[in-house]
Amino acid sequence: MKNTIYSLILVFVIAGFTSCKKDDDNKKKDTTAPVIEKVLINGKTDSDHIHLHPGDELELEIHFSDDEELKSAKVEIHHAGDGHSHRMNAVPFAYNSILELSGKQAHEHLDIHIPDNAADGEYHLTVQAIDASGNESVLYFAELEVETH
Amino acid sequence: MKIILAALLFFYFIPVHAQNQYVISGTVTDSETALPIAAASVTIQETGTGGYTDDEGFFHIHYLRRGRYHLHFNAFGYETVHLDIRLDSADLQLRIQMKPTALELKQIVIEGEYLKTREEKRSLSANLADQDFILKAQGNTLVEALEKIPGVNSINTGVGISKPVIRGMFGNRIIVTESGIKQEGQQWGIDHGLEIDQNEAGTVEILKGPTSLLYGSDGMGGIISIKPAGPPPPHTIAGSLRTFYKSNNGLYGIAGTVSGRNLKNWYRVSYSRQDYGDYRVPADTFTYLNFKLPIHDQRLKNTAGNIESISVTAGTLRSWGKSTVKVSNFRQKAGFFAGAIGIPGAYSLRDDGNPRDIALPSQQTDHFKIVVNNELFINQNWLELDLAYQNNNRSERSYAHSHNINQSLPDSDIAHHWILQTGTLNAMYHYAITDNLNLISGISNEWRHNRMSGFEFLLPRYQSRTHGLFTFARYDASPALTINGGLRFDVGYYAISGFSEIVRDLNEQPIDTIDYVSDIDRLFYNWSGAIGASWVSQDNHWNIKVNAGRAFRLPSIPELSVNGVHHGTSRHEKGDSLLNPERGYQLDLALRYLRRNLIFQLSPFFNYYLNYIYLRPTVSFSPLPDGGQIYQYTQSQAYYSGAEGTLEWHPLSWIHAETGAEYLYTYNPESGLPLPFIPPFSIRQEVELTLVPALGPLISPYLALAYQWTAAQNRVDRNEKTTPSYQLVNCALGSGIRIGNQVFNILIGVNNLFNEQYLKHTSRYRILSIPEQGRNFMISIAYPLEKTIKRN
Repeated sequence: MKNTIYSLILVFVIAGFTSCKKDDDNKKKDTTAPVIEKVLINGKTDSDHIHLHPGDELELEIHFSDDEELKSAKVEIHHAGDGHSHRMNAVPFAYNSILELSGKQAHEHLDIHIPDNAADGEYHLTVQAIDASGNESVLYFAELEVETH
Repeated sequence: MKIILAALLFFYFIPVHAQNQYVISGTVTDSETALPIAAASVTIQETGTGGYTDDEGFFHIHYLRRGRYHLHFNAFGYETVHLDIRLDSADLQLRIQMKPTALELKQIVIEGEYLKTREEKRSLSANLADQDFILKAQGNTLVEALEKIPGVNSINTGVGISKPVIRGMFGNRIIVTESGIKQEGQQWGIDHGLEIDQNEAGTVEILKGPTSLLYGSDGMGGIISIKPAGPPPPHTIAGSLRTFYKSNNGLYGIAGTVSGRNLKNWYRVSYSRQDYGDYRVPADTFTYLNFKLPIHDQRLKNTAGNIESISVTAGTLRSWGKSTVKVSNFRQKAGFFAGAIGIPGAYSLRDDGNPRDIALPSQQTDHFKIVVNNELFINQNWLELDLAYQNNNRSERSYAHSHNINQSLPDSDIAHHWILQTGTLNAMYHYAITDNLNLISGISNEWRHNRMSGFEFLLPRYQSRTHGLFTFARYDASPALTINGGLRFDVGYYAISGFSEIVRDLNEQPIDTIDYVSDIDRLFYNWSGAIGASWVSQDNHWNIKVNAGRAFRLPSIPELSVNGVHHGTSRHEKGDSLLNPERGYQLDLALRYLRRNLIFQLSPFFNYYLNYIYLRPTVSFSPLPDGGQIYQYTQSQAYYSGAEGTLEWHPLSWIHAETGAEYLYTYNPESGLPLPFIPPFSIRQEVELTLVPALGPLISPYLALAYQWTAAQNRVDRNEKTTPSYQLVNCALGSGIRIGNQVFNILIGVNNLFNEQYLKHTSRYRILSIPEQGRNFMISIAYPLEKTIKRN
């Protein structure tokens, strides 16, 4: 009886852990995210508080890389609000663009015009890239301050 | 709803004519010494009536009808005894022997969720947590207290909001019941916590494995069954008041309860309230994207909150059975850390000087319930009839913002507001065909109606109904072998209302229409079932269980209909209105070795799911503002496997040592990767020393030390972060203190003694690399009172 019990325990323990070996090693899944290597805003990499004025031209230069294959990137600028729930007369400026990428390296240039009637305040610029497997890069984020003179 | 009314009326008109009244009596003795056991409690499960043994171990219960009953015998220091008896046209005399044990949990009644029978006759093992366990755990919520049990975890959003996880499954893949009624509260939401206060929970039983057989949809990972405290002893008024404080977030709390009973009727009133401020972490900054953001005073801004819970229960215990009505309301208000739902503006991270205010973004939930439970004696057998109404009112507030250029801003800060009403009607008839073959046949019905409003669309308006029919049998093949099995059939119907939004410009002129979702009508059919066995050795030392089951889950409303950006993750999630129900095939094994002062349990399991619903990255970006990659709900297969083990040992009567470990492995063959949000391997050791039986005014002072090691979680889904390993040490000191002729209970504890900075893989804030709470001192003082009105 005791032997039966001990062998049953052994069966249990082995059974509980055999599925660990079920890993599919044949297909090496790509789980490496693409990288946003560098973002130049009007030629500068310093992302600490960029000051802009309505009517300005914003020039972005973005460098992407991936270990396998880049697929797409999204660049957005939107108004971050200032904590108040009502805004009158102002038109918060927004920018939204999806780029097609390919290969292991990509450089993109974007020229963005800030409208003359853009509302003042804090804006967020975000950039994100995805590769052909759906891995997402870390979100690149910069604060833009828009002020009328 | 008319059906519920009809059932209520039916119940009140059951003829109560005088039947022959019988007596069950007997003696209770120690199985080793043959000496009588005094003050053992004897209870009839179905009526709630009973009594205590006298100094000669003698008991008697009067005024009983012919029929079948299930008895419990409980005494301190002895294993509980369960007995099924049948009263024919004569009084019954019993001789009960109770086996001594040092193990606390063997002294408590574990009632099967459906099979009211002892642990050794069930084919799925269960874990139990009683009020003592929950109190000593000093968790922020009931779910956190239950995390001590291997296989149970929580997904928490800061402090105060936690969802239960059983074997890696949560939300609609597990069931939580209170008083037999499935809790319905938008549990699909990852930051929607469980709306049950830990002070309300009398006993909690956790069953891991396929449990669709009893409750239908959602019983895949397991069930957490919460039973409020039962009636006090006859002719007493009992109560308690507990006040508590926790230093980490400045939490003040109070919980009080009063209950009273004459012989047949009883009541209970409970109230609890907690207020807490922002919680402290052992870090001055946290890295958010490519920024290092400050954590002022090491307190995480806007994680304050409060919880208030009230309930009133009234019940009656008669020879025809028992009936209980409970009305309760749970209210919770909590802040969200601003960075958790979108990129925080600089202002929302600035210290506002008040660590206790709840600013935007925030969440408020009110959960109201009326539950009626009945156990009725019908044709010498028992009918359980439960009815309930639940109203879950949940709103989430955030800074008013619009998604489209030129769109006017919403004039309220309510982003989502949902009101979900649920009506439940369950009936289960317990009967026997022979003395060894016990059956339960039952029906369960649930009606849901959800309304929505708010400036962000996420969950549509819908109505749903589910109806299930099942039969379950327990066959006692021999004193050593029990076989259980059952079959269930369910029908479900969803009617989801389509939703479109007219976008207006700053002059209120319509400029566009967005169609989020169209009408969806779905009808589902499903069968589920289980078969299992439990073998016990003659000396009761060894118990081996095996259970195979098929469970299912209807797709949740969001999985069918969502279409929008989930701000927590910036993913654009898209539902699929054609999803089929998930089906799970599950095999559970359990091995138990029991001695008087030792218990060892090992429970491996293997689960294979078909039509497993998950979010697949589509490798394309959402055109919506703030929208990241589009994720599409899709179906695949999934594997879950693992094991839990526990060892409890009392080398001497005053030393309680416990070790528990859990491991979970998951795999999605379509992605070739593990599943997300899976808790890593962890092992926990605890030692509790009762220092002296009594010392001056101190009664049973004890010292407890717990150490937990959690492994790193490196098996993660695509775009999920790995989490490093960590260690935690908790300690506590407790005692009864006699002052005059009152006894207070004091508990002083420290959680995270070494102020370890750690990330929890299943924390909603892990994605922001925000650590969990730092060192936390707690003190809890309880003042119980019991007053006997009249001795019988």
